[in-house]
Amino acid sequence: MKAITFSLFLGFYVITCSTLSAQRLQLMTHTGRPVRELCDALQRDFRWRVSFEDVPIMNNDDLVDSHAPNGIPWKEAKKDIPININIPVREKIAQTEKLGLIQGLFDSRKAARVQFRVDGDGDQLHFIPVAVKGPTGESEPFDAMLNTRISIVRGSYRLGVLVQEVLSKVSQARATSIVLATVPTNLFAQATVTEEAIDEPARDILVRAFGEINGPRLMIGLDALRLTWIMNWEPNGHFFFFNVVVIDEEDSSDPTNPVTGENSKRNGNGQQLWSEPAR
Amino acid sequence: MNHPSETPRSQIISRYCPSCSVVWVLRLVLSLFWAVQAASAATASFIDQTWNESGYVVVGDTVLHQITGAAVNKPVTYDWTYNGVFQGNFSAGTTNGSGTFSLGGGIAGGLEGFWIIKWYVNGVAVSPTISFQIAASVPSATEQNVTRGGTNIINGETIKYTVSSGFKTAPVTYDWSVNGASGTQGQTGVAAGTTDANGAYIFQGVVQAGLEGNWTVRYYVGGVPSNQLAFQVQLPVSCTGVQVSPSWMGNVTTVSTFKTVQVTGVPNSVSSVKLLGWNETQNIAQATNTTISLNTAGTVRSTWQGTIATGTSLGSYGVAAQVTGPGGTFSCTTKPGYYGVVDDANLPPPPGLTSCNSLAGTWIDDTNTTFTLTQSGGNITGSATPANNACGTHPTYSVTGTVAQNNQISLTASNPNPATLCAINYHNPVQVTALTISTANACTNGSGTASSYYNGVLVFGPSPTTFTSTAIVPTGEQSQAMGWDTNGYSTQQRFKGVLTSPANGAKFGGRIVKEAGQSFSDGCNNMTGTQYLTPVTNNTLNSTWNVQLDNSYQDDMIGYSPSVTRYYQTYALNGAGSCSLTGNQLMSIRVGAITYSQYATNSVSVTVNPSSLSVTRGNATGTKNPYPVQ
Repeated sequence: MKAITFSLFLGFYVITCSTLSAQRLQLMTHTGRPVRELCDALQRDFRWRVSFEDVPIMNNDDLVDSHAPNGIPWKEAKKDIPININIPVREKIAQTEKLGLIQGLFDSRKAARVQFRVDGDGDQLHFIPVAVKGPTGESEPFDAMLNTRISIVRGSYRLGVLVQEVLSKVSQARATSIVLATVPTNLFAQATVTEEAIDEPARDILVRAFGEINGPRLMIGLDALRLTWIMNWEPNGHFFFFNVVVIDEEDSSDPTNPVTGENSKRNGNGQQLWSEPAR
Repeated sequence: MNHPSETPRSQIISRYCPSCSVVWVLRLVLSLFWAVQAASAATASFIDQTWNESGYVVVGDTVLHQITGAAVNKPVTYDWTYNGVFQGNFSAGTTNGSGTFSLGGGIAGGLEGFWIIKWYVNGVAVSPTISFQIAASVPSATEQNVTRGGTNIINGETIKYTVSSGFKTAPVTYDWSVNGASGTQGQTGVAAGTTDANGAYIFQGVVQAGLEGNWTVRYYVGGVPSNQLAFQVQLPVSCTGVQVSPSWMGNVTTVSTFKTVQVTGVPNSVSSVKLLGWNETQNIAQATNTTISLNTAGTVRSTWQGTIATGTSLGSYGVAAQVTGPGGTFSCTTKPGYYGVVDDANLPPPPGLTSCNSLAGTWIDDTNTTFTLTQSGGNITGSATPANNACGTHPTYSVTGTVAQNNQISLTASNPNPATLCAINYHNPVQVTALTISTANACTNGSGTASSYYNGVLVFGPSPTTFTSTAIVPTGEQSQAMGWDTNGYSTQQRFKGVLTSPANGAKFGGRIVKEAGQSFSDGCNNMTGTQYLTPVTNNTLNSTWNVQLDNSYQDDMIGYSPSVTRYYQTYALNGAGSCSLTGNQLMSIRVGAITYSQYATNSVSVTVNPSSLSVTRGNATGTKNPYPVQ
């Protein structure tokens, strides 16, 4: 029944997009984090500014023994219901269309272990988890980590310091560590923002700070930086990794310049995670 | 336990020795008088019915003397020698109607020693002569790990068996088995030797590989069993397979947090696991340790889990497991985890935007006079040519000037050439003072005050004037390695870029430069590839800097973070060789309000070696050897 629903959904987009310049969003996921894979594909192939927030894996049955690429045994998320799509997507479609497309996809995945919703903020999309399989195996609501409301004392902060402060407060509030992984060090040291937050979702503060750095950049003729984040749950260390990535403009003339490297196209076993979209 | 002492000894003795209060010799005499009938076919026998042995008896055992095939109803006597001393000939009774004589019962205490009994029936000797030893108790055996004490033992250690008994120069055998009834190994009745003159037997040897398991051993002296020995032959604890997970744990601030760490591949024989944490400037001996526990209530014996407090020192930390078990305590440092402690708040702030300090190049003022200037330090020289007007062709003036410390510029145009042209005598010299260049448009717009004189008399001004120019682009840049960061990014080199001035001596204070990446290839990440540690790409380069008055800008921090560096040292290199990050850093300078012009390409590389690293930007290289400092 879900498959039928989704096919109808895809058909809608085929019809509406058939006369426009389009790429294909072609994706077959193979891991325990299909929505993360979707996020990677949209960032790399369509330059959509998408953020991804993971969830803790609360049920041991959802972990499988595997090996890190360096050969170390570790646990990783058991393969979830895959995302299998092959649809045309016009370049630079409106934010409302993006939201509809993604939310429709998420709605068709009610049987997946983790339920997501998509939220829009400027040119950014947030993939926000709303439910997760709990310790008993039943789906239960999940309050996304960056929904956590925090306060930041008004002041001028280096961007890196502010991000650390936000993540630290969320970590304390949720008793779960969030550590920095790959971030643009020079940018974090150079960019300064003036921030204040009173009982505000952490996500909103990050969005605002990532936008604020572009004011000075635009004044000196630089392109705005489209920063976003990928927040992964590390099931072996029981913490989140917070990565910050820069997304090219959607009309960037350099389609061979992926946001993430070739390596990220493959999972830990070197298995290809998706096919290149037809162009 | 099948120990014979479990037989109700009082009953046995009461049958064999009804008057047990009598002294032992008397009891013996009373018990051993038999009538003997001489017969050539008669045979004597003796058996300890407790152990089914004939030569070795323990106090409390049941024994049986028997003569068969003798003449019927004849007197039985015997010679008794005890501990080598002949005790005499004693009557024991008579054979029965079948020519058989039997005498049995329990052996009471006090009879220990060597016995020799020679039977006679009707005065005729019966063969064979019976000899046996009586011991006060069954043999006692112990097993000992000579190498380090205790009973359990591992390959290569020395094991010692000690058997004590009351049986002198008696044969010793043993039974052994591994892993009990389900075990696949074991033997019985293995000859081991004999006891010495004191009844002792000792064996000592080195345990060989392949004997691991739960062992039971029982010795026998003269067929009389000792207590059973039980011990384990264990694999020695080693670090083989012991790993810390996750192997990269990210970066945290100096605010102390806790990290959850798992240790996998721990041998079953390990009794305790500790986590060792040591900073990049420490060696393993200086590590702090934290005891951790089995994971998930012990259901996964090989996985232990715990938390470790992050250190307060900056830089990278290694986290390794220390396991304790048979064979000792070992620090398993070949497969550690890494994390970093950084202090972003104290990174030196990038130098701010300076004022513009260059007038080199071609400028046009608001009278349409073209200034063609060169600059050497703070000194300006060149020429100025006013635009032609109704008067005709203007002369060319010689220009000199200075750039003051406040970057206000003064110019004087004088000595017109040729000196005969129109207007010349009315505007000589022309002075421009307090000329400042705005940074707003890449240092291409200035404003100041102009005055002109005739024969020393002011004839024009002072009045505002403007200068405009086309932005000059550096001809290249040189890099300088300024040292390693001291705020936790100790593997990142701070580079300074120094712009190369063109021939006119243009300076670039007040200008902005930016970087972009080209052809970046993260070889180290490709070798390890984890979804949690994303590679460096072209997009990672997106910084800007303000060029200072000396044509330099900084800091351009280049390098993997310390924890990533150590992670790659261990896991990308696999202990040998090196890996590199390479790419081009395209440098552009602001040349207009929203436009930039590329002026240099810096080749960038980060090379990670097993115990060192180097970072190159253009012509400058920083090398850190050794890293980590241990």
